[in-house]
Amino acid sequence: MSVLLAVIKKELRAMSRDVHGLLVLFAMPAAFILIMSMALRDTFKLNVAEKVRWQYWDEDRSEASSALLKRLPAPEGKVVLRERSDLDLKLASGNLQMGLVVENGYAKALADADNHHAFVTIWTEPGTPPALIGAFRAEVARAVSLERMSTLLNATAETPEENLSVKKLADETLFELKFRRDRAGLGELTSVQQSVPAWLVFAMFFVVIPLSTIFIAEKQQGTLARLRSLQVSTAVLLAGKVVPFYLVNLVQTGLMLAVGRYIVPRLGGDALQLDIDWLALWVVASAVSLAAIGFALAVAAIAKTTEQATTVGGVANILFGALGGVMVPKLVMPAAMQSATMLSPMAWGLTGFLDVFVRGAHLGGLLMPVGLLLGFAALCLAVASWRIRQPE
Amino acid sequence: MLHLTDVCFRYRAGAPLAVEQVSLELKAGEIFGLLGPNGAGKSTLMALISGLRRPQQGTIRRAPEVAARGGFALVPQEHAFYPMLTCRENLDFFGGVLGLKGAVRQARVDAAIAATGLEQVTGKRASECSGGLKRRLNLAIGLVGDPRLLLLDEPTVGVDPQSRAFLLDVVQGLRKQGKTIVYASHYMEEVQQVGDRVAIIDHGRLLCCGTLGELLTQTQAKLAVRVACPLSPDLQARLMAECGLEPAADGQGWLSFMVRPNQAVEEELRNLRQLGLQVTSFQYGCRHLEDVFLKLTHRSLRD
Repeated sequence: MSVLLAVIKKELRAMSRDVHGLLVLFAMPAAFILIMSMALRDTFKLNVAEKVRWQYWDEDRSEASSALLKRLPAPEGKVVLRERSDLDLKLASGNLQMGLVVENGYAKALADADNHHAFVTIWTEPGTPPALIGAFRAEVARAVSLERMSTLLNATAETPEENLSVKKLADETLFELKFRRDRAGLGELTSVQQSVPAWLVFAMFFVVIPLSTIFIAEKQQGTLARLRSLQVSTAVLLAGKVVPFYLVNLVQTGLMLAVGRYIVPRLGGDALQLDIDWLALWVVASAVSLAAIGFALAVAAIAKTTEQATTVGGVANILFGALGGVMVPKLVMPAAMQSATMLSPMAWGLTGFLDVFVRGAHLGGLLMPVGLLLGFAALCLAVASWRIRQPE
Repeated sequence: MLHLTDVCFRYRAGAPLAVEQVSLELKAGEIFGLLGPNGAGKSTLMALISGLRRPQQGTIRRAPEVAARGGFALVPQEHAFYPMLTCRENLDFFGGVLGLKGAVRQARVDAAIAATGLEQVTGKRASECSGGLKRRLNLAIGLVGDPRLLLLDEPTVGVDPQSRAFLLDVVQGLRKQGKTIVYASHYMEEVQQVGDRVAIIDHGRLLCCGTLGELLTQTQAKLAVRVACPLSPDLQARLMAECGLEPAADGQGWLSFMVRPNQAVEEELRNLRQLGLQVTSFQYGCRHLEDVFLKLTHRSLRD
């Protein structure tokens, strides 16, 4: 035990003096969380149409066109259109994402039961995400349909009272859908709720860089051989790496949660919701950590040079991340790709974290991802242990 | 203390033997010099003795006090310590790895520091030390466990003459403390200086083993003569044809001959005079390990 403690103390001491290694482990994922939480913020919004920067040009200038525009989300107040061509300019410059032109004849067309042309055109800035276009188009279609229904029903009214009740009927025709998450009391799935687990998993697996660098230096400098000549067992050698880097991974977890909870909201993003089962979080974090350290040790034990280890480890991490839904959220992938994500150990970790953060899972609901991660860790540690016992 | 019998080792099937049929016995308290060029098999032999590798044939028997934990220490030729830690932290760590605790560990660390003269740099990071200090730290780590047997593998590689002299003094001081040392080097002057017994190893085989005196006398002696005027090609050819001698010039006016078995030195000198050589002075016998090495391997240590 005292030998293990000596090895752990040495490892922590050496690690604390490796500023670059610490930067990779802590600053990199924190930066990713900040950037990706802000970048993906709107992708996770349910009422995205309200976030669209849009403006209209009303050529019809009728009571009907005014009523239509009132039904839509508020336009971008900072952009003023003086003539029709301004709309093209503002879209081309990116000041607007969407433009709505109510064409001359809109009111007449609305009242003509035989007409099926709305006299409304939506213009988009080329870089606008398709999801945003679709959401805005649905909003416009909904508003035009309501106006059309109201106008057609109104034509059948004979008195002002009837007219009013027809308008009310038209408005009430629209069903209000109730929207409820699986877990009562949980907030919306936000970008920060996705980014923190994703980049935390990525950061935990990134221990492959400092760990393999240290380990291969020990091999090349003869310190590993020296320790083995002093009859230090393979188990102690491995545990001497696992324990310090496990502690590092736990610190990473705490720090990334703090970034999501306190820093992201300061930059205009959503705050990470932390009404979760903390024991479940610790179990998932531990399983991810052991899988990441096991993988790093296997790479370090097999590689002959630092260059080999950092290249193989780095590229493998990026592939795991790309496949596992870290870089691109799994929910935006096609079905086949979503199935393929499960080939990546990062996906198992991400599933576990999302189960805890988003689905409110407890220990019982984490058996699959935690089991896979621990199995992967055991396999990697067995490979590392076998390789370390082989003389160089 | 240590007994090797017919030890063989090869790195992989089909590869030549890195250590071939090596047998030797180490006596307590001696410095055993292991001399050989780079790649001769010294480090492999050290790895076998220290248990890092297992012989494919033969046996290695260690005395119980050597086989016990901390009974021996390998000082590899690499700087086998942690550059990010200070010298004292490195020593403290290796003391901890040996299971030493508290005051005993502290005392052993202090003793190792004192023995290697590291007092002024204990708080300095190992990476910031000079080459000579790194070598001392490498040796000091080997001393922390107070081992009975020290395996020093090229302990002076890459250091300046002053540091080398210091390290050799330390090694000789360790002998006075009763330590048994295997001193592997390709520097013959070092082995000659510190070794009580010397073995020469080449291509994995021990070519000879004994005290320095034994090695210098048991090998075929060399005759070197200085002549009044340079040898003509004609005379050189006659020397080879009529006397069967193979003269080798060293560039400093000396011509060296290996004296033929059962031939008296006087006879060889007479032959030379009859050939018209005016010998102004001569030297006879092996005086250095280099001569012995040259005789046994037909090449220089630094080839």
